Amino acid sequence: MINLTTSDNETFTVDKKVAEKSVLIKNMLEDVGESDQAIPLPNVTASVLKKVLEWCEHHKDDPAPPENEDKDDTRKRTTDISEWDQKFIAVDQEMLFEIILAANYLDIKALLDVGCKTVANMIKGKTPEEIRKLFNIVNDFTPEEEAQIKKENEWAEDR
Amino acid sequence: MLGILPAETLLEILTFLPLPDLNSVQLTCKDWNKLVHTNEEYLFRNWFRASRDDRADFADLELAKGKHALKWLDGVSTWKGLARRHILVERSWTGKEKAVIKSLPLSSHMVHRFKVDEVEQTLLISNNSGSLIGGLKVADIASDEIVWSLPPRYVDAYAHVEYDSKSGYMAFNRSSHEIDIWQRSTDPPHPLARPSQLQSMLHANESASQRQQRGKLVPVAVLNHAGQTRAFRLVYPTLLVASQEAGTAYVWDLPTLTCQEINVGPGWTPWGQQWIYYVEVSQKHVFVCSDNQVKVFDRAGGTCILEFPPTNSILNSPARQQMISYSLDRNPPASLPTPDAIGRNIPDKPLYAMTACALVRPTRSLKDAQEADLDTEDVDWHPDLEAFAHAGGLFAFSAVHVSPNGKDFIAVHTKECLYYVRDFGKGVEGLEERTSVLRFSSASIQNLAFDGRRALVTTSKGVYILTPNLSWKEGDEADPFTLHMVAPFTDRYALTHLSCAQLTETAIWLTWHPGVRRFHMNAEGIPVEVNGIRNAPLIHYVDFTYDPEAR
Repeated sequence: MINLTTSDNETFTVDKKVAEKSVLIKNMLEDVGESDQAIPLPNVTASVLKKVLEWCEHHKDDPAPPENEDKDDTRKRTTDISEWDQKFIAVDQEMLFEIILAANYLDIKALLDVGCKTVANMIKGKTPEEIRKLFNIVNDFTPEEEAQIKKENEWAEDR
Repeated sequence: MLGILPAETLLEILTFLPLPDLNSVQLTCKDWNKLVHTNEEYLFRNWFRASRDDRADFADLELAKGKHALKWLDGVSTWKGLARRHILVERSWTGKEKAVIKSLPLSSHMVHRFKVDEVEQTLLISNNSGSLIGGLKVADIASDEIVWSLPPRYVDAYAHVEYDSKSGYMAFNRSSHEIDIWQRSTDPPHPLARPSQLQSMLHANESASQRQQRGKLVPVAVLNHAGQTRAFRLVYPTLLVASQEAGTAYVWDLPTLTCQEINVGPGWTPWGQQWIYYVEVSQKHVFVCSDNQVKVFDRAGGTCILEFPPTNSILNSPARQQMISYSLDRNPPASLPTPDAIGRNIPDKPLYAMTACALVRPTRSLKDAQEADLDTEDVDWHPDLEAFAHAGGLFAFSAVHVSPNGKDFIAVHTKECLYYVRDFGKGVEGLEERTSVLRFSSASIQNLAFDGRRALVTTSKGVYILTPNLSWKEGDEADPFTLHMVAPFTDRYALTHLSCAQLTETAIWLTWHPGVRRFHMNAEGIPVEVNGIRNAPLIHYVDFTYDPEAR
């Protein structure tokens, strides 16, 4: 069993196999060897780590991604997400971003992918105005600038 | 979100977006616009790779551009530029942008069969008997000049030519039992080449001339067969030669020049000789078109794994098959613009957009058709007499082509039907669910080309581009394919005499008898169009690479 301490000083005890879904923790364990000392995770809060560990627990038996995988190659850019992951990631926007940040920090590629795909799916098919509303973005373009970008990208517009 | 997530993660999100959505993101605010703008090459390289199903090389822009018959990617220096050109071409294929019709009036005169060399940007052409003598030539596509040729005395008229653009190997039939093999002179020479004396003499003569290397071919061997050869197909490293007389398919391995024989007989049936009209080969299978069936053989075991359509199948009952067929609403479509006569000299400007054809869905579901109570098997079939006569009164499977992944095939029957068969390797079980039928009502299907992404079909009524919906399954809401008509090619005489059609990534290529419009005054003094004078066939091509901003 491995102990993990969050930024808000909560300690989680988990299976080594579950914790090692995180490449960061896996590398730490390899470097320092196993000990009773808790591993500090200063970038992750308890509420987020709880969520992340829930994901790791469910996916603990998934095959490890191939090593040295060139992340640009062979991977198809589909935004399909498995049913379980879809339910798991159905959280508010703030939590979604927190999970993405944690997955990034803990180096959990598959979870990061689920997060990124989810955000991409939120954007898909929306107008610029709808996207602004979704993410609280303020339009700081002049009408001329907006028209210019539209013109430059005209070729990619209709499908 | 911009302030919360690191740029690297934001970019990762953006790589999952289709281009129109990426545009929308750019339009939200200046920061997003900047992020997309500064990482354009990364994003477009990703997009380009994801949009391709082949294993092209994406490490390097020049490699990703690939080899093409037309010089359409010259001057493209960014991934964004590459993405843009590809999108415009896709749009042109489906009629959303215009296309340009061009021809090779000088070098392709009297064409019978031809093949496209994407690497050298040339066409390899055999002659019809209009030249009285035959011969074989290589034409430069851009300049319309002949860059290499074999003399008419060496190659008979109406020779069939096969060529593999990637490997540079060519095959043509010289006598009834022999196939001549040549290869591109700019490639490494075949280590086991054993040219015949005649081949060597021709080559020596040719080498004496001081012409450029591009387009030249050098002799490899003459392959002999026990029986008279009837149809052959070259898909490197394999040359498949079928002999109807011997009931044998000779499967040549070109690198070793060795041959495996597969029994595809019987050459004779109780009703007479079984004809072989067309052959196709993939890594694992050999396909043979005969009168009423396409037979698929396993290359390793030499056994027949599928006879299509199976004798007890709904696909073998004309009346039932008609119930489950897609058909053309009108043939040709009503919205077709009136085409000008296609003459010898074609203006080099975009004139035509592909015309979408409305498809009529099957009248019955597969299950209903299977259970249908039929009084009679008679089907209302009006043969297109002119085309029928030209095909020698032939009702047969006239062509079959397999997809590059070796899983699906398209077969055409002269009697109006095209069959798109998915996963044929799974056998007869569920074959009907995996087969989509398209009827070109009352038309005779003449030529077929298929590259896995789309097919080119020529019938006695028109020239069509068929785009299969690759993810289609029985029961889907959408149609299994879409169809576009290449509007200007509607002249009946030229369609009936169309002897060869080819498909490349950015163009379709056809043999065409250009007509000259002629009028005479009738008794009332009104000009009436009469049959125009027919010129000898030329190669025409429809170029889909038109760029509205390039000129």
